Amino acid sequence: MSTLILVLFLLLGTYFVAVIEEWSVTGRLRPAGPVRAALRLLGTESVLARKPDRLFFEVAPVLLLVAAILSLAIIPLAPGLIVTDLATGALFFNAALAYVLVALIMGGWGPDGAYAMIGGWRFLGQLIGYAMLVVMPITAVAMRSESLSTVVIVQSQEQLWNILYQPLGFVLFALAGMAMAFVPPFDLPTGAGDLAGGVEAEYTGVRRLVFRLGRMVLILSVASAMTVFYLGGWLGPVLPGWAWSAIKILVVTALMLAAGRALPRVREASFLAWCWKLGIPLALVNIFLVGVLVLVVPL
Amino acid sequence: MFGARQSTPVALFAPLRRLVAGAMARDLRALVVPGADVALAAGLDLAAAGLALAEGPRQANVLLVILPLPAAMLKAASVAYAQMPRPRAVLVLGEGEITPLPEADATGAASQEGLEKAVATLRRAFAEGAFATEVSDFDAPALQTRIEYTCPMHPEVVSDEPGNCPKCGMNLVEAGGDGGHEHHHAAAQYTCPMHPEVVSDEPGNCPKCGMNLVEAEGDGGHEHHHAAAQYTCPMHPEVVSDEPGNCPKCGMNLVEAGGDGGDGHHDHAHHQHHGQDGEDAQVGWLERIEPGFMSMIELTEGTPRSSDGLQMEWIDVPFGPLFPGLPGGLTLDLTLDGDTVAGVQVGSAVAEDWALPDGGLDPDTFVAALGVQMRLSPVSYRLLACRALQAAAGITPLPDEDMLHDGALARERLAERLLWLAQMGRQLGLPRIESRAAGLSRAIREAAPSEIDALRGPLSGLVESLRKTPFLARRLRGIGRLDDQGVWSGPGGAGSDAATRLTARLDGVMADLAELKRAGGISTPQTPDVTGVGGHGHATVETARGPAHLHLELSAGRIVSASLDTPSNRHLPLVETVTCQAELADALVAVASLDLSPWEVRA
Repeated sequence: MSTLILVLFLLLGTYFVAVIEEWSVTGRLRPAGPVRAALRLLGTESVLARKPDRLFFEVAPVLLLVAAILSLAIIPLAPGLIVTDLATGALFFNAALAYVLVALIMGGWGPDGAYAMIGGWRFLGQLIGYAMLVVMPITAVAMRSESLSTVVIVQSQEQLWNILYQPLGFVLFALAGMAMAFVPPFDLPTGAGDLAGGVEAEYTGVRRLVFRLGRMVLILSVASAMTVFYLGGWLGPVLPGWAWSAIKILVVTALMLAAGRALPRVREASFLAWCWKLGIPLALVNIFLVGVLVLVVPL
Repeated sequence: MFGARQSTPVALFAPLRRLVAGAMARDLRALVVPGADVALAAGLDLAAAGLALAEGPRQANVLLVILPLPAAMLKAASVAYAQMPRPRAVLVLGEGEITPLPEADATGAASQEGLEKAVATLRRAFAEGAFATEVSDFDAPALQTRIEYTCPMHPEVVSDEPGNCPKCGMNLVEAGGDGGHEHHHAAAQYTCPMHPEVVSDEPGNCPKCGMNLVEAEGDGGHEHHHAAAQYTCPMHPEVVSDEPGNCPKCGMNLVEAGGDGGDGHHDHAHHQHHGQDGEDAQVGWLERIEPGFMSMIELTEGTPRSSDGLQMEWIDVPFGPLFPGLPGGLTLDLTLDGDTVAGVQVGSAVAEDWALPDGGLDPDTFVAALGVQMRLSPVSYRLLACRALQAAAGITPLPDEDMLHDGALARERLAERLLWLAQMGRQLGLPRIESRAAGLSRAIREAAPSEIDALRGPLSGLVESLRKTPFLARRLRGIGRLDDQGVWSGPGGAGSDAATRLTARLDGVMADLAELKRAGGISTPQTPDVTGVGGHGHATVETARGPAHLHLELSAGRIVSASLDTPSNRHLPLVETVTCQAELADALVAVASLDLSPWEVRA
């Protein structure tokens, strides 16, 4: 039963993320949009670029999808409703999504096209910016829960959600998560007006469909992680736990995508500068503050 | 046009095929030739007609061609069409020649109504024919390259597509020597340093001794080295062997004795200094470490050096004429050193030669032709021509009429500035700004004064939200800075950067609104009657991009010489100034901030 619910969560979650994503671009909510787009891609020729690095080209979309799905394995939707409650869950999330970089570089290199290649390398630069800012806020979250298990992390927020307990960490994690999922304004590897699709530029048909699916699952995964780490996961009154999880994840997704569309795409150089000159010192401050709070305020 | 799959239809899948074809028919994505900006200037609302804008040819299934277009642009369009995945279709609006593009699948007049009718035709065609088995191939004449695939074991097997050999099932490989960036591997043969009789096409281990196979030098020029070569250990010179191998004392790889250690070369793509003994001697000590060792010094030998002293692979990347972040028709060929622009070639695929035909032109044709060529600002240039004609004929314009013409000029400036804002929104990933600016630009272009009054609210709203967009000014600041003594005559003036030019354009929107109010009305210019008149005349109009000048010579009522000076033509050389040594994204923003119209460029 719980397997069924988790599969449903993956499918419906991806679908809703796709609907919200389209809304954030066009301003219209079209429930049939993702299905139609998927069908169109299914029927479209899957062009093999000229002189591709075949292995990289074929593997990249699949790897992105697999990495994103794997990272969802440690997301608890309700008590007991989790694929695997790893003792190192919070770390596993980060480890699984490390392959996003590999997928994008492979996808950038594979088709032997300039736009794609530049997009792939850009994401490598982006990783240097966001990588520390994903891990350091998680450290502070784990300090409070005294566990890396995502279930324990949610339970530790019973009294007060982490977004209030460590708001600084939330902001940093949210921005780093958006950069990791390369949603606007951090969509440097795929920017439409900038690189004409970048890493995605040469993918058509079924391969593109897999790439897009991977992207949607990735956004879902990052939104879920924000919910679990900072918004109390399934915690909430009246409604059952899974419903709270679903509502929070959808709201986070919508906010994340809508906010990004109101900002111009960041410059690679300023992104790195912000991350290292401001983000990492702030993340250290956050760890320090949480450490003091954990010692002083027994919440 | 059609045919996503070349397989024979299976009856079982027929409902699924219908479903997919139906989805395709409703989800049309268009690549606009020459560009989305021209579609807007022509008053077309693609979204209302059910066409989404594609990011590039690979994501498009409809090629929307707005005619007339010059040959260079059509050639680029045919390449883009060849890149589009099937099923795909050509939609042509307007009249004109479309070769080398294939026959249009739907045509219409260059109006919203014509577009909507043509899209309806296309929808039916997609729904019915997306899986048609009769596939017509399209080979863009501009793309000469043809790749054949052959079996490594059975050279008689030749196919146009990659796949497996029907005889032995092996993967087919590309025929011909040039395998792109891998080409030095294609010809390579690998052999065992200990067992020269072992020869393989692929790197691997020797079946006899398990050693790594090394690349054998195939080209004759080097073989004499092998014949006379003696191998020695870099650490123990007393160890000398006729064959390569490992040193019995320390296990290091033996290297060729003598000054010319040319056999360590491994990568033919990167250096051309074979046989130049002086250079070889310099790098010789490195090669003695290990034959086949990939030395960075060698790999980067002769490659260009960046301004920061690092050596990187330089690549030439074309942006445009169909690049979504730039005005349609503008061609920008960047030489990238990493992600820094090391060189730039800018041009226009829609440029025309402005020479008059022998015997001159009659004024009506001249004014009309100028309006057609200046696709983004037809009214301004028609007015420019009319005013120059009046000046040449010595006609004094009526002040009232002149005011109304200024109104038309201000209206077009407004539409143009909004068009640029839409383009900027697209480039920087601000879809709300893009759609608002695009909608307003389209609405204003043909609007009556009363309608513009109604649009004042949304207009100032847009300007306000652009001023308030967080990080926008910071994003643009310092990019594309022009020096003080440049030829720049557009918004922002000398010494401006992308941020100040944006502010100047926003101020310009409000100024144009004020000017429209002052003009009190709008009337488009009519060609003055200059029958039989001769003389010289000069006129200037202020366009959104800067002042445009026209000098005319009339003889017996015909234009015998015309010299046109457009802002974009003057500003084109500035592209080099603003992109030099900039990061790629910044360079594109900088070029866009110049607001060049490729239509105003002289061929």
